[in-house]
Parts: sequence; C-alpha cells; structure tokens
Amino acid sequence: MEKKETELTTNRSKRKALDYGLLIVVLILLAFGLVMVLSASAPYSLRTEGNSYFYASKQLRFAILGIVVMLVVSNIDYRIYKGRLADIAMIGSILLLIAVLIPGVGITRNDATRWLGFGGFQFQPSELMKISLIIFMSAKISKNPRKIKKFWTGLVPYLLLIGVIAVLLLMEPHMSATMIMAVIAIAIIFAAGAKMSQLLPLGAVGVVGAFVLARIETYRWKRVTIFLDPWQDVQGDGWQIIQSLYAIGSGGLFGVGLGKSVQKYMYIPEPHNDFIFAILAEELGLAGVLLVMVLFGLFIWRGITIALKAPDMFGTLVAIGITTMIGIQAIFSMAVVSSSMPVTGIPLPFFSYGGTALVMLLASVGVLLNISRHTR
Amino acid sequence: MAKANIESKKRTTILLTIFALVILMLFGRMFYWQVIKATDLQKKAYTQQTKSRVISPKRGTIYDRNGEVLARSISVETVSVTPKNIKDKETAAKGLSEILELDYESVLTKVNKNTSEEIIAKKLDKEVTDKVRVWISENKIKGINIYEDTKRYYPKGAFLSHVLGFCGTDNQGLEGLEAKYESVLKGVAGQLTIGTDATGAELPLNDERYIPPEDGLNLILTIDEVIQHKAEKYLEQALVDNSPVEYGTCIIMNPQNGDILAMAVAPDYDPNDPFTINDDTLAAKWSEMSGSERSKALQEMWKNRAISDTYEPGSVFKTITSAIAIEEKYVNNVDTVQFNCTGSLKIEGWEIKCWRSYNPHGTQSLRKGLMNSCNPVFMSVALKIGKQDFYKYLDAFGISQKTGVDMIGETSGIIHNINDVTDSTLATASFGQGFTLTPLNMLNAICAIANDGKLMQPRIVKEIVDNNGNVVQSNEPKIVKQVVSAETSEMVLDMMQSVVDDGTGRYAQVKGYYVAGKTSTAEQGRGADKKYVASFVGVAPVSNPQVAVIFNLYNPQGPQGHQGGGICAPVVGNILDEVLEYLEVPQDYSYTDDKTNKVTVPDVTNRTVGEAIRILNNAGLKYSVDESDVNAKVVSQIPVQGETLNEKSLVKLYIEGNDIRFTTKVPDVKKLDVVAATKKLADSNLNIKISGSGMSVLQEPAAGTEVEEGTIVRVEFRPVGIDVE
Repeated sequence: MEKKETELTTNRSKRKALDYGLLIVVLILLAFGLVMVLSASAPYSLRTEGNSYFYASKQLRFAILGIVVMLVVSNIDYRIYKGRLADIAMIGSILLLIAVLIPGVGITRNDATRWLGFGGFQFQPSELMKISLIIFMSAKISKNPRKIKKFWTGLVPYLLLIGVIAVLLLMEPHMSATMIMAVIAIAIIFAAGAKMSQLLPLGAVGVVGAFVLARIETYRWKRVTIFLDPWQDVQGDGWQIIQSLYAIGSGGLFGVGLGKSVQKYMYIPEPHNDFIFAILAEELGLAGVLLVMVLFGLFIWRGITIALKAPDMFGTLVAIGITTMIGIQAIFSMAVVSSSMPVTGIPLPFFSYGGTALVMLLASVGVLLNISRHTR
Repeated sequence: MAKANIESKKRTTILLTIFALVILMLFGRMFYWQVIKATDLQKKAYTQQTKSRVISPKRGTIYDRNGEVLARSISVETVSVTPKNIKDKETAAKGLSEILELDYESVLTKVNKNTSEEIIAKKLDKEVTDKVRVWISENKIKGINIYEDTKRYYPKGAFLSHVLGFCGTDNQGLEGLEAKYESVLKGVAGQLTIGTDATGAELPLNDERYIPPEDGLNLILTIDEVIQHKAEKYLEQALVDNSPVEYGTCIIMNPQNGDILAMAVAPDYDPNDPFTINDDTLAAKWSEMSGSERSKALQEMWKNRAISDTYEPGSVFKTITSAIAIEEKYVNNVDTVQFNCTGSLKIEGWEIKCWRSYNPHGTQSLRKGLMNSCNPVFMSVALKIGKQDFYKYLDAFGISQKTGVDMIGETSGIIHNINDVTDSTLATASFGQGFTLTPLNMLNAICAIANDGKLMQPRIVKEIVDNNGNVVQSNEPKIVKQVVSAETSEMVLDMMQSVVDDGTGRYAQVKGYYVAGKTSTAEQGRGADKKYVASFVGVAPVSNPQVAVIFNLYNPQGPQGHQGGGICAPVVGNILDEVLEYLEVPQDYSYTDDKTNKVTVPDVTNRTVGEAIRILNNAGLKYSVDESDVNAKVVSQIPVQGETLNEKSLVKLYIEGNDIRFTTKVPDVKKLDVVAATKKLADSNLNIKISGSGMSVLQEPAAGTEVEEGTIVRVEFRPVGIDVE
C-alpha cells in the first residue's frame, strides 16, 4: 500500500499536459457526429415523435454529459484500474451479461436481448464488457509479460475467457460485439508479444471455425454473403444495404448538401443509427467521407502514439485496447454500410445515435487521455 | 512494473499500419461507389425516390372536309389513392364507393394495398369529381388524388363508326382511323415527377419536374358529313326495306381525285360505346356467351366491310371487260350487232347460262349486251380478249389488289393465277364471277373509267393539321396509272349511261342529270351455300363525273327480291339526286320537280285556332281540329313544322286542355299508282310522301300500323315492266 502511495505521488509530480491533438480530434468527431445525428434523424424524429429535434437534443445532452465524464476520467490515474478493480470489472461484466440472458431481466429489441434497464435508463452490458476486457487483459498480461509467450499458461486462459464472453454474447445474440471483442483481445495479445507461431495457427483455426459455422446453415450463409451481391434479394436481406448504397452513390464527389438526403426519408430505417455513415456519404459526398476517415485515422494515430509513449506496459496495452475498440468499430461500421463485409449492426463511434454508448465511449477516451498525461 | 519492450513497440507500429491500410481500402471502396458506380446508383435511387405521373396529351380531333367535328377529346378526371397516406381506410373506401357508385369491397381492397398509388376510377365527369372534392374537404381526408385526363367523344354517335373506329380506355386507337393514325393523333405524353419518401408520401422542399404534354395532331378527312349522312340514311332504310338481309355497304367517291366522300356500313355501332353489341339476338344471350364468342361478335361488328369484306362483283364487272375489249380493239364498234345470246354458252363442256336463259336476248351489240347485262355476250368478248390481255388489264385496274387507301384492315381478294385460267374461268370472270375483291376495290376501278381512264389512289385523310391550323401533312390526290385511254373510258361511260337510260339500271335515273350505271346480282358461293349480293354502281353526271356510288346489299331476302337493278339502283338514284343537289352540280338538262306544288309546314303552335287556320289556308294546306272556339290555343300539330308536303295535305291541330289524340290504322297502299295511293291515305286522314314514279312498291310505316292522324306515310313508286337483272 505504502509503495503504491509513493508511486502515485511521484507520478502526480511528473504529471504532464494531456494529448491535445487527441482531444481536438475527439471534439471535432463529436461535433460532426451531432450535426449528422440532427440531419439524419430529423424526418424520422418528426414522424415518430412529432418533432424534428427529439433525437438530436437527446444526443446533445448525452454528449455534454460524456464530455464531463471524459474530463473527470482523464484526471483519474489509469493505474488504479490495474489492481482489484480489473477483477471486479470483469466479474461484474460477466454477471451482467448473464443477467441479460435471464428471462424477464434482459430487454429484447428486434429479436435480440442485449439491454438491461433501470427505470428510463437502458444500457448494453456488452459496452461495459469491452472496457472491462481491455483493462482485465492488460492488467493480467502486464503483470508478467513474458508469460504470454507460453501457450498453455499464457495464451489459453485468455482464449477461454474470450470463449466464455463470446458464448454469452452469441446467446443474446450479438454478433458484432463478439467480433469487436475478439479483435480487441487479438490486438492486445499481439501487441503484448505473443508468439506468431502460436497466434497464426490459432487465427487459422478461428477463421476456419467461423467459416464452417456460417456455412452450415443456408440462411446464415446467405445473410453472410448478401453483401457481395445485395441485388440478389432486393426486397429481403439486400434491401437495407441497397438503400445504403443508393445513399452513398447519390452523394457522388461532393454530396447532395447537408440536410438534403432523400434516403433518410424512411428508405434507410433509423438513419441516425448504424447506417448514419451512408447518410453522411449522401449529404457530403466522397469529400465528407474522406474527412471522416482522416479524423478516425488521426484518432488511431494519436491513440497508438500514446500507447508507444505510455510509461508502463499496462498503459500501452490499455491504450492499444481502447484505440482498437474505437478504430475497429469505425472501420466495421463503414465497411458494413459500404457493403464491404457481412451486414451486422455496428454503430459508428461519435456519430451514431445512442446516449449510454456515447458516454462510455467518451469515458474510455478519458482513460486514453489520462495515459497521455503520463507519457515519457 | 515492466515497460513496453522493443518487440511490443514494433508490433504496435504494425497495428497502426494495419489500421491505415484498412482505412485506405475502405476509402477505395467508397470511391468505387461514389465515383465509378455513382451514375448507376443515382439513377436507381432517383427511380425509387420519385413517383411520376403521366400527363395525357390531348388527342387530335377528326374533322370532315368542311370542318365538322367527328371525333374529339373531352376533359375528364381520374381519382386515385395513395394507400399509405389514408388513415381511416374504411371511411375512405365507403365515401369513394358511394360517390363513384363502385363496389365497396373492391375499393377497400385498393385502399388497403401496399403500393404507392392505386387508380380508383377513370374517365369521370367533373360533376362527379367535384362531389369527391367536397367530400374530401368536409371530412379532411388525406391520400386521395384527382387529376385531369381526357376521353374520346364522338358527338354524332353511331355515325361513320366503321371508318372512325374507336379508342380504348387509355385513349389508344383500337380500330379504324383512330388506330391507323394513332401515332399522329395521340400526341406525346408529359410527365410530372415528384419526390417521395419510402412510404410514397410527397417530400417537403423537393422540386417537381414537369414536362408538358404535346397535343396530338388533327385529321381532316375527305368525308363529307352531309353526304355520309345521306349514304347512311339510305343504307339503313334499304336494310329495313329488304329485311331479312345480312348487311350493306355504300361508298361514295369523287372519281376525279379519289376522295372518299362517304363510306357506310350497316348495321353500325356507337363508337362511344363500342363494346355493346348492336344485334338484339346476340345482346339477349350476351351473358351466356364465352369471352371468345363475344370478342368474335364484336370483331364482326367493328369490321369495315367496305374495305375488308371481299365478294364476287358480278355484272358490274362487265364495265371493266367492256373497257378492255374497246381499248385493245377486240370490239371496234360497240353498236355493231355481232353477238348472239341463245340463253347459254357451252365452254369446255360447261353450260354457262345467261341470267335470262328463259328468254334469250338473241342478237346483241356490245352496248346492248351491257344494257341487258347479257352473260353470253361478255363470255364471247372475254374469249376474244384472251387471258393474257385480260389479266394485263385486271392488274392495271388493280383488281383483287389493295387500293392502298390509308385505312386499317384493307384486304385484297382472291383471283386465279393466270396459269390456272381456262376458257371457262376466263368466261365467268368476264361477268364478275370466280374471283373476289372489296367494294372499294370495285368502285375505284369504276372511278378510273369515270376519270378519263386514270386510276387514282383512294384517299380518306386530306390533311393533318396542328392546333394552330398549320398543315403538317397534305395528302395530295395520287394518280396510280392511266389504265385505258380517255376515249375508251368515255365510250364505256356512254354505254353505262345507256344502261340507266334504257337498260337494267333504269331505276337509278335522276331527273335533270345523265347517270351512268351498272347493275349486279352476284352469286356468292355455290350449291346450298349460294347467296346473292345485290349491287349497283352509279356515276353522275356523265358529262363531268363528280360522284361515283357503289351500293351493295348482302344476301337480301326481302319482298323485293335480290336483284341489284331492282333493290339497289333506285337507292343509288335517290342518293345521286340528293348528293348532286347538295354539291350544286349543274343539271345536264333543265328539270323542275313534279307538277304538284310542295308546301313546307309552318309552325302554328302557341297561336289561336283562328290564326292557325288562316296561316294554314294561306299556305295551301288543309286542317282538322276538334274545337269550335277560335280563340283556343294550339299546343301541338301533326305534321310538325318544316316537313314538306303536297299542296292540300292535312295538318291536324290539338288545342290546350283537349289533348285527346286521334289515331288511325295505316291502309295498305302497295301496288297502286300515285293518285290512288294519295287518295287512299287522305281518306284515312294521313299524308303521303312520294318517291319515284310508277307503281307503289314500298310503304313506311307498314300497313296496319296505328299512327296519329296527319302522319306522313312514305311511299316508293317504281316504273313497271322493266327487266332489272
């Protein structure tokens, strides 16, 4: 305990300014995202709520709350997550994921049970799990970095953990979260220095397994491959992705103009959610798309830089985990919308509507910012 | 606490590179959609995001040669629904079905459909749609659209129907000139494009695209409405007079330019209502008939038999045979007696009879042969001509070929191939048997004879004009070829005049004009299926032919028989009489109508009895009234104002407050002369309208019919003792 105290004090004395580059990129993304939520949701909002600003104003309130949370978290020394907190977070997250699956407790929407609710407040435990997983794995690996090079004692425990989480998520079902979780874990293990001779065969086994699982059921295989030719089922599975491509194509180089999307008029269901990037592409064109991609690129670059400069391995791994979590969600979301991967609902970070998710996102940016304060 | 080692840093950098590469690939993918595939996607998106409404152009008007409207488009409206915008489906369906008098269930089905638009009713009058408008505003109903459309309207009803044809529900021409000139009449549709959301509702702030329609062009026909009316009137009358009879056709042309002045087919139909059968027998069992039976019956009804029915022309064709013989000098003098009719001629073992084999014509000249319509004369002529020359001229006259008239459904007829022609087929062909052609084809060949030997291409559309009266296309008269010399045709016409003056065509005489003509009683089919077509062709005036008429009755079995000279010639005479007068053709010789003075009935209604008596007396008419009070007011009179009567005819008056009608039975006045018939009718307090002279053969109304006193009975008289073929 004493030692820890000293360390904290010493670090506070060495405390530096946070990474303003990251902060500015995040604030620009956030502002951009709010504008897009307003534009994309207005007709839907008017139709469902009788007022064009319903979703936008709700998102704005969560954004303000998120910024406050981010600033507060950025002032909490990231190393306090390393100890028992990591275990508690992991166990708590697993329990919450189990709770979701108990009939009567979890909340079901569109045939998927992913939410827990307390009064008017609803959130997805999988969101919490992403952070918990990052912190837990980073904490365990950084305790004994060389162990990760061992197969049975190093790699297998994490694989088992991911397996348990994956099973819980797939029971909801929540395919996209499972994928994101897997990518985060792989990124951390990879960065921690796991042996490629062990990682590559494991990866191959995973890919083959996923392929077999997808192929085994005709309907599932059809849904997985519909993105290759959405026009084979215009009225069914292909509908959503075709509408998305209509929006993107309509945008052309410079877009139809902010607020002037036609595809947001019920052609794309809930245009402010997972498919918001399509509306952005329609209204702002390839130019707007480039801007968004550059912003996410800058975000990842800053995140990786922070990881490289982190004072300890825990900091490095947590920074990599958070950067990967946000980066991969952005990539997956853009890939789904542009029909580059199988269709699955993935929100675009900072852009898609969703209050709790936004607050969690900004909180994790807060962690990243705090790590940046400790860079060497 | 271990710090990130070198390997860890290396791997972190690899991660950054992977991220960068993936984002770059995604950018490439977006470039593909937004640049390479953009046009294609935009096109598809636009189609999906908009709904287009076709704005119908106004279909062109069809006029007769004097600008009389025969077919035009009138404004109507269409009611449609946008199902997704209708909240209360039941109320909407109920209201619409009640106002538009439609079945509630079928309207409800449409209102419940998952489409962007459903048509509820088309071709509605504005009175009806105004009711819908009031109902919409009173009940604040959304999702019901009303827009303008046009409907084809034929103001004269069943008039010229086989020529005009008619239009379908989408205003597309289905028959007749409407179909033939579809591309000219229809115009170019316009379009209104409106942006919609996925539910079909119109988008706010979305610009509409409007492409205005281009109206169709108008047709000016060669048809003369007045002449057409006369042709139809006489044709319908002939069908009544010769009942039972299958049908009749009548074509009137100007031989000098090939203009079709009238083309009538009876029975006719109303192009405003073309799907209602015109035959009572068929109409009675209509509901039991199958779809194909109905469609066949309708096709028959719509058929323009003047250009699509082929028949064996019979003796009318002797004019053509005469022309060939004279042109090729097989007969140098038409008045030289050089033929002998013994009642029949034996050729190749076939005994081919003359129609008057019971009383052979004996020695004959060519002229006499035509006047008597003697078959052996023409058989002998044809055998002289030989098949090579005969066929050369058939081809030149266009016999059994399409005339090329700008109409739909013209057929060509059938004729033996020249290689199959034997002496007997050649002999029968000389008097118009053994091959078929259409009535128009026959008349057009006759027209060549009436036009100094020049064969014209018949035309029915004179000009195509736009709405500002500019002529877009003018169909000039077209000479197909000089078939025979002017001298030959003059000679044939002269012989044809003899036919009317003193031959089988005497009933076609017109006072004041010299008429050329030829009768025909043509056999159709052989043996048990044998039927007759009675036909007459008349041309007048001979000195400068302006009108040529062909009048055919198919399978007439009425009391007057089936001979063209008997039942068709008098009708053609009447038609020529009226048409020549209407066209103000100068008379060949001065002739004023019969000695009895004609009086036009004045209007005496709303006058006192005293005044009425004075007016009628001054007009030379008699009166009858069941009232002694000279101040009583006359409320009706029979005959009505404007009728033409002989002097001293009776006008029956009825006065206010005493409307007891006096009726009488029409007596039988057939087989009487004019004086006796007039007296017999006058004894029954009826008036007479005389046509023709000689012995009465027809009366209308028929004997025994109960009519009001003063009614005019039409009586037709014919000269007696004429061979009519």
